[in-house]
Amino acid sequence: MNTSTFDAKTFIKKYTMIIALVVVFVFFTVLTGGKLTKAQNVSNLLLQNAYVLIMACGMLLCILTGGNVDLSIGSTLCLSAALAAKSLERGLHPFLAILIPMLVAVVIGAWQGWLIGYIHIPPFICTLAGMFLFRGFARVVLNSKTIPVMNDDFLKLFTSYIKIGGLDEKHSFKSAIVVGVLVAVGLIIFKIVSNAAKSKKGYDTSNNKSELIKTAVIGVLIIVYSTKLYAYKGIPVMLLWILAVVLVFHFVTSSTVFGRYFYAVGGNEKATKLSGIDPRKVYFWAYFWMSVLAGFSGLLVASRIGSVDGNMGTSYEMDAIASCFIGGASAYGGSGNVPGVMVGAILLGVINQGMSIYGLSDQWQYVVKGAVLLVAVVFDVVSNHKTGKS
Amino acid sequence: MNDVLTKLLLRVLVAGYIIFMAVKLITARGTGSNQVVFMVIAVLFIVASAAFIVYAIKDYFKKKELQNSSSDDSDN
Repeated sequence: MNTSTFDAKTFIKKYTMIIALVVVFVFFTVLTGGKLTKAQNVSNLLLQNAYVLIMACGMLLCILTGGNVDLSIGSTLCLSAALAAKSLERGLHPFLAILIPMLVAVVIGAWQGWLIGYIHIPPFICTLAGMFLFRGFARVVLNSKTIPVMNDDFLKLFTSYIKIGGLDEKHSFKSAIVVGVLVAVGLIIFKIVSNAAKSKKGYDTSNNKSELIKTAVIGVLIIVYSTKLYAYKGIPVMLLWILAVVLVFHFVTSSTVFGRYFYAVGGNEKATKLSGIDPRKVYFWAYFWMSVLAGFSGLLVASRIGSVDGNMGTSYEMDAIASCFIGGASAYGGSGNVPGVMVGAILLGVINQGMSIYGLSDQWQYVVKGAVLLVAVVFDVVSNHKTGKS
Repeated sequence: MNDVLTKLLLRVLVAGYIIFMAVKLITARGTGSNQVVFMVIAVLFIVASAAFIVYAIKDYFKKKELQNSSSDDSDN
Protein backbone atom coordinates (compact mmCIF):
# COMPACT_ATOMS: atom_id res chain seq x y z
CA MET A 1 0.00 0.00 0.00
CA ASN A 2 2.73 2.36 1.05
CA THR A 3 4.81 1.48 -1.98
CA SER A 4 1.99 2.33 -4.39
CA THR A 5 1.39 5.70 -2.65
CA PHE A 6 5.09 6.44 -2.88
CA ASP A 7 5.13 5.52 -6.58
CA ALA A 8 2.18 7.80 -7.33
CA LYS A 9 3.88 10.70 -5.58
CA THR A 10 7.13 10.09 -7.42
CA PHE A 11 5.27 9.83 -10.69
CA ILE A 12 3.41 13.13 -10.13
CA LYS A 13 6.61 14.86 -9.02
CA LYS A 14 8.58 13.57 -12.01
CA TYR A 15 5.95 14.37 -14.61
CA THR A 16 4.29 17.48 -13.11
CA MET A 17 4.63 19.59 -16.25
CA ILE A 18 3.47 16.83 -18.59
CA ILE A 19 0.41 16.30 -16.37
CA ALA A 20 -0.15 20.09 -16.40
CA LEU A 21 0.13 20.07 -20.21
CA VAL A 22 -2.46 17.31 -20.49
CA VAL A 23 -4.81 19.10 -18.04
CA VAL A 24 -4.48 22.44 -19.89
CA PHE A 25 -4.96 20.73 -23.27
CA VAL A 26 -8.11 18.91 -22.08
CA PHE A 27 -9.39 22.14 -20.45
CA PHE A 28 -9.09 24.17 -23.65
CA THR A 29 -10.40 21.29 -25.77
CA VAL A 30 -13.58 21.25 -23.66
CA LEU A 31 -13.75 25.07 -23.55
CA THR A 32 -13.44 25.39 -27.34
CA GLY A 33 -15.88 22.56 -28.04
CA GLY A 34 -13.15 20.32 -29.49
CA LYS A 35 -11.84 22.92 -31.95
CA LEU A 36 -8.35 22.73 -30.42
CA THR A 37 -8.00 19.10 -31.57
CA LYS A 38 -8.91 19.84 -35.20
CA ALA A 39 -6.17 18.86 -37.66
CA GLN A 40 -5.44 22.43 -38.72
CA ASN A 41 -5.09 23.67 -35.12
CA VAL A 42 -2.91 20.75 -34.03
CA SER A 43 -0.67 21.28 -37.08
CA ASN A 44 -0.49 25.02 -36.41
CA LEU A 45 0.25 24.57 -32.70
CA LEU A 46 3.92 23.78 -33.34
CA LEU A 47 4.29 26.06 -36.35
CA GLN A 48 2.93 29.15 -34.59
CA ASN A 49 5.28 28.47 -31.68
CA ALA A 50 8.29 27.55 -33.81
CA TYR A 51 10.17 30.64 -32.63
CA VAL A 52 9.59 29.73 -28.94
CA LEU A 53 10.66 26.12 -29.43
CA ILE A 54 13.85 27.16 -31.22
CA MET A 55 14.83 30.15 -29.07
CA ALA A 56 14.10 28.24 -25.86
CA CYS A 57 16.93 25.82 -26.79
CA GLY A 58 19.38 28.73 -26.84
CA MET A 59 17.88 30.33 -23.76
CA LEU A 60 18.39 27.05 -21.92
CA LEU A 61 22.15 27.33 -22.52
CA CYS A 62 22.15 30.88 -21.07
CA ILE A 63 20.04 29.85 -18.05
CA LEU A 64 22.20 26.77 -17.43
CA THR A 65 25.25 29.00 -16.95
CA GLY A 66 23.74 30.45 -13.76
CA GLY A 67 20.18 31.64 -14.29
CA ASN A 68 21.30 34.29 -16.78
CA VAL A 69 18.93 35.32 -19.55
CA ASP A 70 19.23 37.04 -22.93
CA LEU A 71 16.78 39.94 -23.21
CA SER A 72 17.87 40.95 -26.70
CA ILE A 73 16.55 37.98 -28.66
CA GLY A 74 13.19 39.56 -29.59
CA SER A 75 15.08 42.51 -31.11
CA THR A 76 17.68 40.25 -32.77
CA LEU A 77 14.79 38.30 -34.29
CA CYS A 78 13.24 41.54 -35.56
CA LEU A 79 16.55 42.74 -37.03
CA SER A 80 17.13 39.42 -38.77
CA ALA A 81 13.58 39.41 -40.20
CA ALA A 82 13.98 43.06 -41.28
CA LEU A 83 17.26 42.34 -43.08
CA ALA A 84 15.72 39.35 -44.86
CA ALA A 85 12.65 41.35 -45.92
CA LYS A 86 14.76 44.30 -47.09
CA SER A 87 17.11 42.03 -49.05
CA LEU A 88 14.19 40.37 -50.81
CA GLU A 89 12.57 43.75 -51.48
CA ARG A 90 15.78 44.90 -53.17
CA GLY A 91 15.65 41.82 -55.39
CA LEU A 92 18.56 39.90 -53.86
CA HIS A 93 18.69 36.13 -54.25
CA PRO A 94 16.87 34.28 -51.39
CA PHE A 95 20.17 32.62 -50.47
CA LEU A 96 21.62 36.08 -49.73
CA ALA A 97 18.43 37.06 -47.92
CA ILE A 98 19.15 34.16 -45.55
CA LEU A 99 22.93 34.58 -45.41
CA ILE A 100 22.96 38.30 -44.55
CA PRO A 101 20.65 38.08 -41.48
CA MET A 102 22.43 34.95 -40.28
CA LEU A 103 25.83 36.66 -40.55
CA VAL A 104 24.49 39.64 -38.61
CA ALA A 105 23.13 37.24 -35.95
CA VAL A 106 26.57 35.60 -35.75
CA VAL A 107 28.20 39.02 -35.26
CA ILE A 108 25.64 39.94 -32.57
CA GLY A 109 26.22 36.60 -30.82
CA ALA A 110 30.00 37.00 -30.92
CA TRP A 111 29.73 40.61 -29.70
CA GLN A 112 27.45 39.83 -26.76
CA GLY A 113 29.29 36.60 -25.94
CA TRP A 114 32.57 38.48 -25.83
CA LEU A 115 31.17 41.30 -23.66
CA ILE A 116 29.61 38.85 -21.20
CA GLY A 117 32.29 36.15 -21.21
CA TYR A 118 35.50 38.12 -21.51
CA ILE A 119 34.69 41.68 -20.38
CA HIS A 120 32.40 40.38 -17.57
CA ILE A 121 29.50 42.74 -18.24
CA PRO A 122 26.44 41.33 -16.42
CA PRO A 123 24.27 39.50 -19.01
CA PHE A 124 21.16 41.33 -17.85
CA ILE A 125 22.68 44.76 -18.56
CA CYS A 126 24.45 43.76 -21.77
CA THR A 127 21.41 42.11 -23.35
CA LEU A 128 19.07 44.86 -22.12
CA ALA A 129 21.22 47.32 -24.06
CA GLY A 130 21.10 44.95 -27.03
CA MET A 131 17.32 44.84 -26.77
CA PHE A 132 17.06 48.58 -27.47
CA LEU A 133 20.01 48.76 -29.85
CA PHE A 134 18.94 45.97 -32.23
CA ARG A 135 15.31 47.09 -32.19
CA GLY A 136 16.54 50.52 -33.24
CA PHE A 137 18.68 49.02 -36.04
CA ALA A 138 15.69 46.97 -37.23
CA ARG A 139 13.53 50.10 -37.43
CA VAL A 140 16.28 51.89 -39.35
CA VAL A 141 16.48 48.99 -41.83
CA LEU A 142 12.68 48.97 -42.19
CA ASN A 143 12.55 52.76 -42.33
CA SER A 144 9.71 52.40 -39.79
CA LYS A 145 7.53 50.72 -42.43
CA THR A 146 6.02 47.28 -42.86
CA ILE A 147 7.77 45.30 -45.59
CA PRO A 148 6.02 42.30 -47.16
CA VAL A 149 7.87 39.01 -47.70
CA MET A 150 6.60 37.59 -50.98
CA ASN A 151 9.51 35.76 -52.60
CA ASP A 152 8.23 32.26 -53.41
CA ASP A 153 11.61 30.53 -53.17
CA PHE A 154 12.22 32.05 -49.73
CA LEU A 155 8.75 31.14 -48.50
CA LYS A 156 9.07 27.58 -49.86
CA LEU A 157 12.14 27.01 -47.68
CA PHE A 158 10.18 27.63 -44.49
CA THR A 159 6.42 27.50 -44.98
CA SER A 160 5.82 24.82 -47.63
CA TYR A 161 4.68 21.24 -47.04
CA ILE A 162 6.56 18.14 -48.10
CA LYS A 163 5.07 16.29 -51.05
CA ILE A 164 6.30 12.80 -51.86
CA GLY A 165 5.26 11.49 -55.27
CA GLY A 166 3.06 8.38 -55.07
CA LEU A 167 2.16 9.01 -51.43
CA ASP A 168 0.78 12.54 -51.38
CA GLU A 169 -2.19 13.63 -53.44
CA LYS A 170 -4.33 16.75 -53.46
CA HIS A 171 -6.36 15.96 -50.33
CA SER A 172 -4.55 13.03 -48.78
CA PHE A 173 -1.04 13.20 -47.41
CA LYS A 174 -0.05 9.62 -46.65
CA SER A 175 3.62 10.52 -46.25
CA ALA A 176 2.80 12.02 -42.84
CA ILE A 177 1.37 8.69 -41.61
CA VAL A 178 4.19 6.64 -43.12
CA VAL A 179 6.89 8.86 -41.58
CA GLY A 180 5.03 9.00 -38.23
CA VAL A 181 4.72 5.20 -38.00
CA LEU A 182 8.34 4.67 -39.08
CA VAL A 183 9.62 7.14 -36.47
CA ALA A 184 7.45 5.64 -33.71
CA VAL A 185 8.44 2.04 -34.52
CA GLY A 186 12.09 3.10 -34.89
CA LEU A 187 12.04 4.73 -31.45
CA ILE A 188 10.57 1.63 -29.80
CA ILE A 189 13.02 -0.73 -31.53
CA PHE A 190 15.92 1.54 -30.56
CA LYS A 191 14.75 1.48 -26.93
CA ILE A 192 14.41 -2.32 -26.87
CA VAL A 193 17.88 -2.75 -28.39
CA SER A 194 19.51 -0.26 -26.00
CA ASN A 195 17.76 -1.88 -23.00
CA ALA A 196 19.05 -5.29 -24.11
CA ALA A 197 22.56 -3.87 -24.49
CA LYS A 198 22.32 -2.35 -21.00
CA SER A 199 21.30 -5.61 -19.34
CA LYS A 200 24.01 -7.48 -21.27
CA LYS A 201 26.64 -5.11 -19.86
CA GLY A 202 25.27 -5.60 -16.34
CA TYR A 203 23.74 -2.12 -15.82
CA ASP A 204 20.77 -1.61 -13.51
CA THR A 205 17.71 -2.67 -15.53
CA SER A 206 14.98 -1.88 -12.97
CA ASN A 207 13.86 1.15 -15.01
CA ASN A 208 13.80 -0.63 -18.35
CA LYS A 209 10.07 -1.43 -18.26
CA SER A 210 8.99 2.11 -17.37
CA GLU A 211 11.40 3.55 -19.96
CA LEU A 212 9.88 1.26 -22.59
CA ILE A 213 6.34 2.31 -21.60
CA LYS A 214 7.40 5.98 -21.82
CA THR A 215 8.83 5.43 -25.30
CA ALA A 216 5.66 3.59 -26.37
CA VAL A 217 3.52 6.54 -25.17
CA ILE A 218 5.75 8.95 -27.13
CA GLY A 219 5.39 6.65 -30.16
CA VAL A 220 1.58 6.71 -29.88
CA LEU A 221 1.63 10.53 -29.59
CA ILE A 222 3.80 10.76 -32.73
CA ILE A 223 1.35 8.56 -34.64
CA VAL A 224 -1.66 10.61 -33.41
CA TYR A 225 0.14 13.83 -34.44
CA SER A 226 0.97 12.37 -37.85
CA THR A 227 -2.72 11.48 -38.43
CA LYS A 228 -3.51 15.17 -37.84
CA LEU A 229 -0.79 16.19 -40.33
CA TYR A 230 -2.24 13.63 -42.76
CA ALA A 231 -5.60 15.37 -42.52
CA TYR A 232 -4.11 18.85 -43.01
CA LYS A 233 -1.58 19.46 -45.80
CA GLY A 234 1.01 16.87 -44.65
CA ILE A 235 4.44 17.39 -43.09
CA PRO A 236 5.39 21.10 -42.88
CA VAL A 237 9.00 22.00 -43.72
CA MET A 238 9.06 24.24 -40.65
CA LEU A 239 8.52 21.16 -38.49
CA LEU A 240 11.72 19.70 -39.90
CA TRP A 241 13.63 22.89 -39.02
CA ILE A 242 12.24 22.76 -35.48
CA LEU A 243 13.12 19.07 -35.09
CA ALA A 244 16.63 19.61 -36.47
CA VAL A 245 17.40 22.40 -33.96
CA VAL A 246 15.76 20.63 -31.01
CA LEU A 247 17.46 17.28 -31.67
CA VAL A 248 20.90 18.87 -32.17
CA PHE A 249 20.61 20.89 -28.95
CA HIS A 250 19.26 17.90 -27.04
CA PHE A 251 22.19 15.80 -28.24
CA VAL A 252 24.75 18.52 -27.46
CA THR A 253 23.45 19.25 -23.95
CA SER A 254 22.88 15.64 -22.93
CA SER A 255 25.56 13.62 -24.70
CA THR A 256 28.62 15.78 -25.34
CA VAL A 257 31.41 17.06 -23.12
CA PHE A 258 30.88 20.57 -24.52
CA GLY A 259 27.21 20.43 -23.45
CA ARG A 260 28.07 19.33 -19.93
CA TYR A 261 30.30 22.40 -19.52
CA PHE A 262 27.16 24.58 -19.36
CA TYR A 263 25.82 22.51 -16.45
CA ALA A 264 29.22 22.59 -14.74
CA VAL A 265 29.53 26.39 -14.92
CA GLY A 266 25.96 26.83 -13.64
CA GLY A 267 26.52 24.29 -10.85
CA ASN A 268 29.76 25.72 -9.50
CA GLU A 269 31.77 28.18 -11.56
CA LYS A 270 34.81 28.23 -9.28
CA ALA A 271 35.09 24.44 -9.20
CA THR A 272 34.67 24.34 -12.97
CA LYS A 273 37.50 26.82 -13.40
CA LEU A 274 39.74 24.84 -11.07
CA SER A 275 39.07 21.68 -13.07
CA GLY A 276 40.52 23.32 -16.18
CA ILE A 277 37.39 24.50 -18.00
CA ASP A 278 37.39 28.14 -19.10
CA PRO A 279 34.01 29.61 -17.98
CA ARG A 280 34.57 32.60 -20.29
CA LYS A 281 34.33 30.34 -23.32
CA VAL A 282 31.19 28.70 -21.95
CA TYR A 283 29.50 32.09 -21.49
CA PHE A 284 30.65 33.13 -24.96
CA TRP A 285 29.16 30.09 -26.68
CA ALA A 286 25.89 30.29 -24.71
CA TYR A 287 25.18 33.85 -25.91
CA PHE A 288 26.60 33.17 -29.34
CA TRP A 289 24.22 30.28 -30.02
CA MET A 290 21.34 32.16 -28.48
CA SER A 291 21.74 35.00 -31.00
CA VAL A 292 22.21 32.61 -33.92
CA LEU A 293 18.95 30.85 -33.00
CA ALA A 294 17.18 34.22 -32.62
CA GLY A 295 18.42 35.20 -36.09
CA PHE A 296 17.16 31.93 -37.54
CA SER A 297 13.80 32.34 -35.78
CA GLY A 298 13.55 35.77 -37.45
CA LEU A 299 13.58 34.05 -40.85
CA LEU A 300 10.92 31.55 -39.74
CA VAL A 301 8.62 34.24 -38.29
CA ALA A 302 9.06 36.54 -41.31
CA SER A 303 8.11 33.76 -43.71
CA ARG A 304 5.19 32.59 -41.59
CA ILE A 305 3.66 36.04 -41.07
CA GLY A 306 4.53 37.21 -44.59
CA SER A 307 5.59 40.71 -43.56
CA VAL A 308 7.96 42.42 -41.13
CA ASP A 309 7.40 45.52 -39.02
CA GLY A 310 9.36 47.27 -36.28
CA ASN A 311 7.34 45.66 -33.48
CA MET A 312 7.98 42.08 -34.53
CA GLY A 313 9.36 39.90 -31.74
CA THR A 314 8.32 42.20 -28.89
CA SER A 315 8.31 40.19 -25.64
CA TYR A 316 9.34 36.98 -27.46
CA GLU A 317 12.25 36.78 -25.01
CA MET A 318 9.72 36.36 -22.20
CA ASP A 319 8.15 33.40 -24.00
CA ALA A 320 11.53 31.70 -24.31
CA ILE A 321 12.46 32.45 -20.67
CA ALA A 322 9.05 31.28 -19.41
CA SER A 323 9.34 28.04 -21.43
CA CYS A 324 12.66 27.27 -19.77
CA PHE A 325 11.44 27.93 -16.23
CA ILE A 326 8.12 26.12 -16.78
CA GLY A 327 10.12 23.24 -18.25
CA GLY A 328 12.18 22.82 -15.10
CA ALA A 329 15.33 24.90 -15.68
CA SER A 330 16.69 26.23 -12.38
CA ALA A 331 16.78 30.00 -11.84
CA TYR A 332 20.27 29.49 -10.39
CA GLY A 333 21.55 27.47 -13.34
CA GLY A 334 23.01 24.00 -13.55
CA SER A 335 19.81 22.09 -14.16
CA GLY A 336 17.24 21.74 -16.92
CA ASN A 337 17.05 19.88 -20.22
CA VAL A 338 15.76 20.32 -23.77
CA PRO A 339 12.78 17.89 -23.55
CA GLY A 340 11.56 19.69 -20.40
CA VAL A 341 11.89 23.07 -22.10
CA MET A 342 9.93 21.75 -25.10
CA VAL A 343 7.10 20.70 -22.78
CA GLY A 344 7.16 24.23 -21.30
CA ALA A 345 7.06 25.81 -24.76
CA ILE A 346 4.18 23.59 -25.92
CA LEU A 347 2.28 24.31 -22.70
CA LEU A 348 2.59 28.05 -23.38
CA GLY A 349 1.57 27.44 -26.99
CA VAL A 350 -1.55 25.49 -25.96
CA ILE A 351 -2.55 28.29 -23.56
CA ASN A 352 -2.04 30.97 -26.26
CA GLN A 353 -3.79 29.03 -28.98
CA GLY A 354 -6.60 27.90 -26.67
CA MET A 355 -7.30 31.51 -25.70
CA SER A 356 -7.24 32.62 -29.36
CA ILE A 357 -9.59 29.85 -30.52
CA TYR A 358 -11.94 30.52 -27.62
CA GLY A 359 -12.05 34.10 -28.86
CA LEU A 360 -10.62 35.90 -25.83
CA SER A 361 -9.68 39.45 -26.77
CA ASP A 362 -6.04 40.56 -26.54
CA GLN A 363 -6.81 42.42 -23.34
CA TRP A 364 -8.21 39.32 -21.60
CA GLN A 365 -5.15 37.41 -22.77
CA TYR A 366 -2.94 40.02 -21.06
CA VAL A 367 -5.06 39.67 -17.90
CA VAL A 368 -4.63 35.87 -17.90
CA LYS A 369 -0.86 36.08 -18.51
CA GLY A 370 -0.43 38.79 -15.87
CA ALA A 371 -2.49 36.79 -13.36
CA VAL A 372 -0.40 33.65 -13.97
CA LEU A 373 2.77 35.67 -13.35
CA LEU A 374 1.30 37.22 -10.21
CA VAL A 375 0.57 33.71 -8.89
CA ALA A 376 4.25 32.88 -9.57
CA VAL A 377 5.26 36.06 -7.69
CA VAL A 378 3.10 35.14 -4.68
CA PHE A 379 4.54 31.61 -4.76
CA ASP A 380 8.07 33.07 -4.81
CA VAL A 381 7.40 35.42 -1.86
CA VAL A 382 5.72 32.69 0.23
CA SER A 383 8.45 30.11 -0.45
CA ASN A 384 11.11 32.74 0.31
CA HIS A 385 9.48 33.42 3.70
CA LYS A 386 9.37 29.69 4.46
CA THR A 387 13.05 29.28 3.54
CA GLY A 388 13.97 32.32 5.63
CA LYS A 389 12.15 30.96 8.66
CA SER A 390 13.66 27.51 8.33
CA MET B 1 27.26 36.57 -11.30
CA ASN B 2 26.26 35.76 -7.73
CA ASP B 3 22.97 34.06 -6.88
CA VAL B 4 21.55 36.98 -4.89
CA LEU B 5 21.99 39.47 -7.73
CA THR B 6 20.63 36.98 -10.28
CA LYS B 7 17.54 36.51 -8.12
CA LEU B 8 17.02 40.28 -7.83
CA LEU B 9 17.36 40.78 -11.58
CA LEU B 10 14.98 37.93 -12.38
CA ARG B 11 12.40 39.31 -9.95
CA VAL B 12 12.71 42.80 -11.45
CA LEU B 13 12.34 41.24 -14.90
CA VAL B 14 9.12 39.44 -13.93
CA ALA B 15 7.73 42.58 -12.29
CA GLY B 16 8.70 44.61 -15.36
CA TYR B 17 6.85 42.16 -17.60
CA ILE B 18 3.70 42.43 -15.48
CA ILE B 19 3.93 46.23 -15.73
CA PHE B 20 4.34 45.81 -19.50
CA MET B 21 1.10 43.76 -19.52
CA ALA B 22 -0.60 46.53 -17.54
CA VAL B 23 0.55 49.18 -20.03
CA LYS B 24 -0.71 47.01 -22.90
CA LEU B 25 -4.06 46.69 -21.09
CA ILE B 26 -4.35 50.44 -20.77
CA THR B 27 -3.19 51.31 -24.28
CA ALA B 28 -5.19 48.62 -26.14
CA ARG B 29 -8.49 49.94 -27.44
CA GLY B 30 -11.34 48.34 -25.49
CA THR B 31 -15.08 48.80 -25.49
CA GLY B 32 -17.20 50.73 -22.97
CA SER B 33 -17.57 49.18 -19.54
CA ASN B 34 -14.86 46.57 -20.18
CA GLN B 35 -12.29 49.33 -20.48
CA VAL B 36 -12.95 50.37 -16.86
CA VAL B 37 -12.43 46.76 -15.71
CA PHE B 38 -9.15 46.58 -17.64
CA MET B 39 -8.00 49.89 -16.17
CA VAL B 40 -8.67 48.60 -12.63
CA ILE B 41 -6.82 45.34 -13.37
CA ALA B 42 -3.93 47.29 -14.91
CA VAL B 43 -3.63 49.48 -11.80
CA LEU B 44 -3.67 46.34 -9.63
CA PHE B 45 -0.91 44.81 -11.77
CA ILE B 46 1.22 47.96 -11.46
CA VAL B 47 0.74 48.24 -7.68
CA ALA B 48 1.50 44.54 -7.13
CA SER B 49 4.59 44.71 -9.36
CA ALA B 50 5.89 47.85 -7.65
CA ALA B 51 5.43 46.17 -4.27
CA PHE B 52 7.26 43.10 -5.56
CA ILE B 53 10.18 45.22 -6.78
CA VAL B 54 10.45 46.92 -3.36
CA TYR B 55 10.29 43.48 -1.69
CA ALA B 56 12.97 42.13 -4.07
CA ILE B 57 15.33 45.05 -3.36
CA LYS B 58 14.85 44.72 0.42
CA ASP B 59 15.42 40.97 0.21
CA TYR B 60 18.55 41.57 -1.89
CA PHE B 61 20.14 43.85 0.72
CA LYS B 62 19.12 41.51 3.54
CA LYS B 63 20.73 38.52 1.86
CA LYS B 64 23.77 40.53 0.79
CA GLU B 65 24.30 41.53 4.42
CA LEU B 66 23.97 37.90 5.52
CA GLN B 67 26.49 36.85 2.85
CA ASN B 68 28.96 39.53 3.94
CA SER B 69 28.67 38.65 7.62
CA SER B 70 29.12 34.92 6.91
CA SER B 71 32.21 35.63 4.77
CA ASP B 72 33.61 37.83 7.57
CA ASP B 73 33.07 34.95 10.02
CA SER B 74 34.88 32.50 7.79
CA ASP B 75 37.80 34.94 7.35
CA ASN B 76 38.13 35.22 11.14
